[in-house]
Amino acid sequence: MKTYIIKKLFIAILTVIGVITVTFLLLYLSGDPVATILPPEASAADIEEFREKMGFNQPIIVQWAQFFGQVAQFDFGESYISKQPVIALISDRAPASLILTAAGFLVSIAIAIPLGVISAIKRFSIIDNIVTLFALLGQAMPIYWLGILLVILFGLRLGWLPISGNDTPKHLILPAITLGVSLIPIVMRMTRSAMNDVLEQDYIRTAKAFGISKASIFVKYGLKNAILPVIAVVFVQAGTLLSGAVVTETVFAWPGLGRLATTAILAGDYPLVRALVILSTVFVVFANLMGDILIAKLDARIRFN
Amino acid sequence: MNSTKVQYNTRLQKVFWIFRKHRLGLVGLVLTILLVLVAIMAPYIAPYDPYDQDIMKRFTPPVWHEGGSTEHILGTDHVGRDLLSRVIYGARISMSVGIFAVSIAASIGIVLGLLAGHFMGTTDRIISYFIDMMMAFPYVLLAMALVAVFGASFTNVFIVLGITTWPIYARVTRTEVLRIKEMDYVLAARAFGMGRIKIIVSEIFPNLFNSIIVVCTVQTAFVIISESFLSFLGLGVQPPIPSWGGMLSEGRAYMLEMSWLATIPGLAIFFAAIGINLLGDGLRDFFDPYKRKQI
Repeated sequence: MKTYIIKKLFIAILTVIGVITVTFLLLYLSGDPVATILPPEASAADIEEFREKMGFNQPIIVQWAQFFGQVAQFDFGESYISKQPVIALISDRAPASLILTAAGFLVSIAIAIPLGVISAIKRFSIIDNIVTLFALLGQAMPIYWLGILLVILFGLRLGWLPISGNDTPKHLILPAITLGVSLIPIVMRMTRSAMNDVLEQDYIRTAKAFGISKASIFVKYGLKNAILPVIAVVFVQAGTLLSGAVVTETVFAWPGLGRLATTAILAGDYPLVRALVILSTVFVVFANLMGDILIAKLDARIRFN
Repeated sequence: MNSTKVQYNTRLQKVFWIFRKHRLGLVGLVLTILLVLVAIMAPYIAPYDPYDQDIMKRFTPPVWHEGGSTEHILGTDHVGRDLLSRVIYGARISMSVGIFAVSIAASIGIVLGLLAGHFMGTTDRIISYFIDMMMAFPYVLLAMALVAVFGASFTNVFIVLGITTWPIYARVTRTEVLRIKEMDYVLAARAFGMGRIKIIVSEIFPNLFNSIIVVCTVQTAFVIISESFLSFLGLGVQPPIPSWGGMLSEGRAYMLEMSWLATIPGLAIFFAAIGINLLGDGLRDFFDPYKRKQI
């Protein structure tokens, strides 16, 4: 187990180094980074000055080493647009994103786990088929369009809920549902298959033979054992959750990191874009690592290998 | 399958027979064929030129709304362009993004997956490292950032979607190669002294086909949705080209009074994605010998 964790941790660190490098190279993909950042009407003198100031005149490997050194100290530079330190902008917006992600996560768990359990208990029944179809439809639903539909229905037609911003707790409802729904198909499928695996175990049959009530079997012996693999998979899906948050925040003008990323990308604010890509990827890598470790803890074949 | 007494004259007939039993797969097949036909036939079935503006007729509601007419079945947009014609032409954009992006991603992914699975050792470790690294990026952020650097255009969108989605193909190919390699027929080929490259080309590659087709199908739906979101943000196919995501973004400005401008293009994306996803699911069951018996 220890060697397994160390090996996974080593790979995670290597991945982060690779991610920082790829993000660094992002600006050089189109050839000249200065030309990418500055508007086309910039004068030759401006371009030279900017190149000097930002250190783009140095060899690329030196620039990479400098960038790496800064990232290691959590120094992502200043935003081109607001001239504020990138780290300050990010820590400003992080709480809003955390709240939205947590709420979306709760919505998906609250809907997906009961549906997954019912689906597993009544395998191949009409309910199971409907739930599976629902998951398929959910996968095909563009999240941002779902957000717009909810806005049209609950925000504009019925006028029940506010449609953008985050001034009151009511503002959280539509974005949380939108983000939650995007996760439901995967969580539901995982719950169904984990629950199926558990229900085929001998101890379930034993419990049934002892005449323990069905509800008690499903919750105490079934769900209790099925829930951990589901949580592990959710950790592995952290990237999907993040992508969903970017989309949701953009549609609802939710002042979190996702919206910050969209505006930064549209404005060409590269220090901010780089920082957001790196930090979110580091988050995904470590969430995945936790998921892997959790799965290994549950699976004796990995644990003892 | 061998228990049934049906005689298949051709492989195609067999496909149809099995899909007839798999209803959702059939729905997917029909929707997908419809989508392809609409895309190909766009100039013949679209009632108007998708770029033709008629400012006097702007915001004509769809035919089922009050004030709608059969002249413009789905109504017109903010500059008086026929919405139905734009939705029909939009299928061309989505289908071409789907086909090009998936072809790019599948070519890169399959080659790397074959190399990793066949040669193993250091080659495998390096390729697997790149797969893991690419998969760690939050996909939407990476695609948005890349399009912003390259510049938003039709070509750049499918290149970016192609070069960001290859890891899934590589991972599936690698796993499949590792499995197929241990099959008796590959061992037999090796025992007969067949060369490494020849084994990849004539023994391993043909047996990969099933899994790859399923991944390609599901990924087509994924890149269509991704393209629509990029276009929705203004980072994808640029107006006035009729892409579904771009139309949604234009329609969103008027969603208070004229919600159909935002719902109709979204429905087009939704149906396209459902059709292709259901087809992918059907194919997955079709290629799975255990499931096929149940069908």
